[in-house]
Amino acid sequence: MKKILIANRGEIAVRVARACRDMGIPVAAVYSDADRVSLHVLEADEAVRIGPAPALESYLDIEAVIAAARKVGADAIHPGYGFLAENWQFAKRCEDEGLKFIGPSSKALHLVGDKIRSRETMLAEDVPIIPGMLGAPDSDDECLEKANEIGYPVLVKASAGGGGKGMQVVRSEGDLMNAIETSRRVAKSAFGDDTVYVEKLIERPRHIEFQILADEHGNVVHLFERECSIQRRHQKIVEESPSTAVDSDLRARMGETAVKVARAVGYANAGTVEFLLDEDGSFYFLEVNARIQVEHPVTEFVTGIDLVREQILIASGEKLDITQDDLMQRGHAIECRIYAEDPANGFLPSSGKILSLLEPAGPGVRHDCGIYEGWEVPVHYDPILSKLIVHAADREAARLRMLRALSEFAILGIATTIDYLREIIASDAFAAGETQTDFIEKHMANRHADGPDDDVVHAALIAGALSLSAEVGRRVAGRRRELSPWDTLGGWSIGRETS
Amino acid sequence: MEYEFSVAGEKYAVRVEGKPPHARVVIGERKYEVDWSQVPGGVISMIVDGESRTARVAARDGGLVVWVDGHRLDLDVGTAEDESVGRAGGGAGGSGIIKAPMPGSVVKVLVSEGEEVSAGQSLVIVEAMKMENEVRSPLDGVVKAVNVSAGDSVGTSETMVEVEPAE
Repeated sequence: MKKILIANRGEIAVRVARACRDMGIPVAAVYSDADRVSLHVLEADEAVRIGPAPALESYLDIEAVIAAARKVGADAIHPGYGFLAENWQFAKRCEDEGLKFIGPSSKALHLVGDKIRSRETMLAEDVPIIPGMLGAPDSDDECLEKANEIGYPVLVKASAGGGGKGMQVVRSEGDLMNAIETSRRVAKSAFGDDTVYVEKLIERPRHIEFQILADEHGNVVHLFERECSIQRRHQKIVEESPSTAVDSDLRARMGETAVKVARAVGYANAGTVEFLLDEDGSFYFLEVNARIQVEHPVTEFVTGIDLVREQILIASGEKLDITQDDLMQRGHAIECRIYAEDPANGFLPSSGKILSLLEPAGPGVRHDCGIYEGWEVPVHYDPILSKLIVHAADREAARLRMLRALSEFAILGIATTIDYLREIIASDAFAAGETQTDFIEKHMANRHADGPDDDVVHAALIAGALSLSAEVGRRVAGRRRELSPWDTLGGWSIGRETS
Repeated sequence: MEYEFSVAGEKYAVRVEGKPPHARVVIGERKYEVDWSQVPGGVISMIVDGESRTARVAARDGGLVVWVDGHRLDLDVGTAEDESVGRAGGGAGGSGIIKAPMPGSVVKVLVSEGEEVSAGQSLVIVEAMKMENEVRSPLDGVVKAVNVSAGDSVGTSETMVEVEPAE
């Protein structure tokens, strides 16, 4: 490949650019008006404006992205995650244009993107799936019939859905029709498709997924599991590998199943097969994530494989040079997702200028970062800022290393999830590996009961008072003395919006 | 110099005496001897009674945010001496001045002028970073003014809706 256009933004665009440059391949970025000075543009060799701030008119605009690739003379497009990454029509457009889409074929994307069709395919291959409907129901009555047959509780899910949107838990027959109506309405507005289906609800499961790599010559390997059970509003926030719930026998069986899934859909490139693991040890296929995932660095740490590099090699038509026997899990890795959200305020997204950024570092610490000091977080996109990943010899060492790294990590100017993540990692339940998908509601509901220790509060008060006294001193002196925080803040006064 | 802060609703008076790099800081009954220095980039190094503490301080609406050794705290600022460092008037609080909780764009305005509203009723839907947030009325009353419409960009300081409290 001679030049790769990265059709994404933020930390993943920076991550992909690094892999390209590690391979000596020039990189072109795309940006919306809101991202002119974003990190991924600064880091790229070339950059093309693709439209105004709203994603629909920029990062989701297929024609604008294709035109950008043409303009810079790219021969391949890396879609990252989100935006167009799993859009089979975009992959098809790339194929038609003779541009290499770094991901699976449009055909495989089309199949795995449809939950009902992929369930049908898996059933035919003897891949375990959650008891529920196989085809799109003809009527609500058919949903009712099926729900009564598999037994409550059941889940009503949107066929075209993702991220938990449109999902409804139903515990008795009387609530089913209302749930279907709600689910249809949400699905219609979110995905433009109001098809819903019913399946058995697995209570207190773990979310276990297997990373796979498949080349275009029929070779498929899995790179073991990631556990992503700690979720907030069905969004993962902490991921790790290996899982505390998976032993070597289960790992082998799930890994083989993941490979079978990839073969069944004719998958090539990097992908993830998601499973739900029940408390009794049975596991069920959920879906294929046909992209590089947010949490891929966890696998990179334990296997030593650069997954984005592999994606590029596979898309270039090369054969996998690793076999299943070459792969092993070394040590333990944990990832925390750093979001621009305010945990004290219902996880409302926060935006604004990054006034101060101190990145964690040191042995076994990786920070995949999409922000820099002085940059303003735009309001238009997913609020992920960066990912902090650690690696150590075993789980407890990794856990302590994550605590250490989080305590080195400062982002000021906007609210973030850093302190919240620290509480999760420090909790007894996390230390014990009790990471079911109800972790947050079970263990984090009563947070901030105590608040920080007095000596921390006092240290903060001292720092606050000293910085204000320095500011007053600076004004009184009428000239610039040493640089104070205020110098770096620009025009500022308390009680006024910063300009 | 004396400052008034509040942290998580609790009020603190903090007195600073002495000349840099030395300070005596008094918080309530506690006295601290501090050797401190500011480093370009907003870092304050403090040796507090022999303990090394590293802090970063930045402004936020209503006060300061302080990061100290891995902990992040919001300090609301009031003041005893310097009136120029006043508390921000932002936030809906108990008043009928409704502002956006964060910068974003208005998706939908759910009320119009003259309409009666009750506490907790949704007034405006604001979208920021792919999430829709309902901004609710803090009190019972009558809508006196609606200053935004769908599609508008809003900051946190602009008044979106004014509600006149019910008698």
